[in-house]
Amino acid sequence: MLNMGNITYGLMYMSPGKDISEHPEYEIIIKLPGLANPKSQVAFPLVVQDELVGVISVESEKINIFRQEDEEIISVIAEQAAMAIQKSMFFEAEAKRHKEIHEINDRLSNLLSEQQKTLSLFVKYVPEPIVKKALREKPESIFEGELMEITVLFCDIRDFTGTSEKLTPNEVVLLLNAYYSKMTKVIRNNDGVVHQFVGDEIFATFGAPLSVTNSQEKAVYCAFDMLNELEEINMELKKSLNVEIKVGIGINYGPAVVGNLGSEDRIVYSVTGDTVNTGKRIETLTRSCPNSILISESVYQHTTHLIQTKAWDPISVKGKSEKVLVYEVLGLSV
Amino acid sequence: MINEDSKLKEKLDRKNREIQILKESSSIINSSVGLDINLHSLLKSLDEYFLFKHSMILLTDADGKFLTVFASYGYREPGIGSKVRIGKGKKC
Repeated sequence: MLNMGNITYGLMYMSPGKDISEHPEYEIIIKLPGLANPKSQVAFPLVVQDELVGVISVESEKINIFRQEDEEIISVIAEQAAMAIQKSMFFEAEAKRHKEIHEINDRLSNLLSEQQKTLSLFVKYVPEPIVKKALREKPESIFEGELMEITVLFCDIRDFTGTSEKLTPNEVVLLLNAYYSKMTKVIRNNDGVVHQFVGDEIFATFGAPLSVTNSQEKAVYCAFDMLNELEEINMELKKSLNVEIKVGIGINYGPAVVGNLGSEDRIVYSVTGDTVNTGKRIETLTRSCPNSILISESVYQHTTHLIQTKAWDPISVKGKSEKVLVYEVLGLSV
Repeated sequence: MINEDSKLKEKLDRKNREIQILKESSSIINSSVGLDINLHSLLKSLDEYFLFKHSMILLTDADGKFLTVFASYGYREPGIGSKVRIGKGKKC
């Protein structure tokens, strides 16, 4: 606290209009308020949490005007002013924090929205479960493979070359796009994942990358749904392009190595192993029997209670020393 | 006796004014108006209850080198925003 009662002989604490003009950084010089001829001045520091935040100054043109009790009341007002400043600082900090949180939220929302857009686009190229699995994995484990029990399904259009010869390139693309998009939907509805479209062939898995229960049953039900969907597709194709397509479906169940193969620049989620190769071989056997579903012994063992089948004579397939048992699925059990 | 009565009355009057200014200043700092208005109201109450007709409140700048007039009362020119370097006065 500073109290000066006869300033003529002392030091003037506050005096109007000076000092600041020495500082060129202040473009607008505002005259400091103050009496032209003060005789008494009293000043108190304003302190918030042990820090000086300001000063209250009271002055008068009368000599020795401020008594002890005046100092006391001014000191009380100084404390009240400090409290008002503290409250204001608190609200200012809160408002700033609130604004920052809002900005962070906005940035996060934008990022999420961008990420969602990217993901939506990405899943058109890579199956969504594979993308989601890759996002969950640590970067160092991205190339780790695993052995999983899965069901593979191959579906091929029979004599597609002959069909496509009757169509223009644009019509072939239209046909394949309609076929793929409808079949993909059917596979997805049965918890399957389309891995590849190779030419006119669809390769789907049930149980990879995410394991599913009763993958064999799901694959067989899916095959029925695909044949039903094919009827719808053919009705449209008949109308629009005057063609019909036939397919053959082969299903196998067993262990397969699944994981990301490739380099850091290009990664392909891959399913490899004898189960896949045999599944493909079984599908090729349907060439002699269009719009049929052939299943392996391992699939048959898990689904025999659900379906009616006809066992084929054991057949030699490429890459297998022993003949394999295959079953033609005739329909669902009554 | 009359003199003593007068002194007691004066003392009582002062105490009353002290209570009044405390009541008013508490209400001022609890109000939701801006800090500048609140501080001006505190200075005004010093005049209303104790006839301190010239007063001002200066706040420190972020770097702590200057005091800036944030509220003033009773001056012909309020000088809000004017600055003075901390530690500077004038010898008269």
